[in-house]
Amino acid sequence: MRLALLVARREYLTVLRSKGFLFATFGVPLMALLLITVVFEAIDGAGPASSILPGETGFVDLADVIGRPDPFRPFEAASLARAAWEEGELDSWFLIQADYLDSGGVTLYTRLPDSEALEDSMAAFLRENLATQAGSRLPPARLAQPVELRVRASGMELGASDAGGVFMVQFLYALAFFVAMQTTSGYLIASLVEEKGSRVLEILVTSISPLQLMLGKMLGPACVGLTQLAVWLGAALAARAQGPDVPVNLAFELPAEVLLITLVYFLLSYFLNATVFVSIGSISDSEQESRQLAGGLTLVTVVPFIAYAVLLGDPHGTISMALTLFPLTAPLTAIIRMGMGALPTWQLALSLTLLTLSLVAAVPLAARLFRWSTLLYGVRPTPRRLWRLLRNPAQGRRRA
Amino acid sequence: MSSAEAAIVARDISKSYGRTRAVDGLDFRVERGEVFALLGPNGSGKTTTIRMILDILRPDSGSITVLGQAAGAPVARRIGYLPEERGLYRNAPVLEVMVYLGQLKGMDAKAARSHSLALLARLDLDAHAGSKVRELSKGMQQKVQFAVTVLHEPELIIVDEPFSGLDPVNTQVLETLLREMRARGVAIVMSTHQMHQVEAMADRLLMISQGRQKLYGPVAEIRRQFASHALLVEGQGDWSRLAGVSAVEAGERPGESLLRLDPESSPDSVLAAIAAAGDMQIRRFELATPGLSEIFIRVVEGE
Repeated sequence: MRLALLVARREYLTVLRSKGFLFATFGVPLMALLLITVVFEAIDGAGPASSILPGETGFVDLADVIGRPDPFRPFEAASLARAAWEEGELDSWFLIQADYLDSGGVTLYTRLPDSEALEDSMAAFLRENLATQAGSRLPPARLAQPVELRVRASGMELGASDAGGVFMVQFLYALAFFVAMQTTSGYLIASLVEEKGSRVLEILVTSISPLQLMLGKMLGPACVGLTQLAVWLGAALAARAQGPDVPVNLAFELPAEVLLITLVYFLLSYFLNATVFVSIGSISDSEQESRQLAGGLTLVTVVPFIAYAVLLGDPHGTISMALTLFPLTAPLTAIIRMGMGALPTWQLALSLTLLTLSLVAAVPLAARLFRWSTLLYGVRPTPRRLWRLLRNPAQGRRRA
Repeated sequence: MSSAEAAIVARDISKSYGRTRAVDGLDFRVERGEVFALLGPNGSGKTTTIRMILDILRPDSGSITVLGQAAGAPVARRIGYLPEERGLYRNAPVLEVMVYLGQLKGMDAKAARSHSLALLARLDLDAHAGSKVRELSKGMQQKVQFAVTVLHEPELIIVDEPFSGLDPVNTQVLETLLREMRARGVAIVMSTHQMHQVEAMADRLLMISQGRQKLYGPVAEIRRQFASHALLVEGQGDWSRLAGVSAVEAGERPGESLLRLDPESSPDSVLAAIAAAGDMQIRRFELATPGLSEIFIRVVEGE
């Protein structure tokens, strides 16, 4: 294991010192932010955004101020409203907090891309109900400003009612995940092909077993990806501290559970991708060939972005569920759906389970191909040879 | 471990790839403190044999003991390997590459660094410790590769075409290093097609062809086995007048003659005839033994 860590350390430091890493970590996000800012400015300049009329909206009244629930659907407890929202029965729900009369605190949970119309309806609804309250209970400030609203889109909480910001943050979050995943997997395949091409591999396998070597080569880029995500998270938190001066609304808070789930998804999907990339690198003769083959995998993992409109429009539909459960598209889809508050717990659990099982199945296969590529150095991996190897793993075997 | 223990003992090892028998029943032993040449034409099974010694491949049958350990034992750190196709990280600094590969061989970073610097100085490369590998000439890269091979002070080194790409000066530097290691008891397995290097350095050899053992033993003994019924003489005289000499040819060196003998005559009888002739002078008189190149060709073409 010490040797695997040594290999991982070298891979990590080599990537960290490369210009490519600096560009991917700082250049790509800056360009993405710039592009998104320009697009948003253009949309804002085109006139008032069209409001999407809310579908069914629920509410929970902890302050006991609502006498006339119409047009919203009342729930006895927050857990019931949340369950209905997560199952797709509701587009949105809001929680009138117990100290509402003093604080005006109302939290809106929505997956609408633009909640402005809903917020207007909520304000009118609250004002109408407050008007029926006994005068002695009602602070004058409440009637003047009935709502001190906080909007939450599942994991991401905004300090202002900017649902467009919610979805942009959610999109950026998924984008960051994707970029980290792709760049780190790219480092892995580039390193593998370099060692094959420069014949270093033949030196290495006299010092370290193929399995340890493969493990080290996978661990190093994984740490690079985590470093990238940490840098971006740190930058986002720093941007949040800047408040309204930030060009786009990054003033969000990520609850610990969302960070944890993202981390788990990152590690599982990175290692799944890495095993596929190791297999590709093992059977390829050149970086060009490897990249062509890896491009197919990237195309599959990027499907959630291609189907983004479908995920937004029907987050509980069959396509959304299928993309959540299919291991290669699961991470991005799950992150996007979590952002919309549209990922039921059972689907999350099943998605992670399937991803884990796929990884468990893929690792021995990748290890077999990697070992084969180091043993039969210089032998062209024809489909016939590969088939024979997969059927007879003992072929050419030595140490694990 | 006893110093009398052989560096390598291979017993009847065979290895096949599918239907191709790459190595077929090789039996050999490499002693500590000797240079052992592994010879054979391309595709004869040399690389497969080396990989079995390195425990990268396991023989289908037979056994190999390396440095007293059977296959699977952790002896890799006691072996240095210089492959025919050189492998270094081209975009990394020389010293960094050496320290990393030294650490993989079990050295701590500090020792790997100090040994690397000492070796680079010995190879006249100390000014290039911070250069990237790709910035070095082919010969310099070859020397770095050699330094990586011996950095961890292995007890057994396996070098495949160690002098490839080196000029005569650097060839001599490496030869000196190899001789020093042999003197310290390091076993050296050398695979090369440069037969003059084998003649100059190797104590014993194993020649294989089509995976099978063709020649095995001390270099001088094998050359004697292939000695033709002829003599090499330097001196003055009409050698064709000698009894028992059937033909006289020019030798390879100036003033040297090759005397082919009748089947019934012997070197002793020819020497006696020269002494008896009175008008002949000899400065050198020896059995004509072929070079390893000639033996190599005869063995391979004789199949």
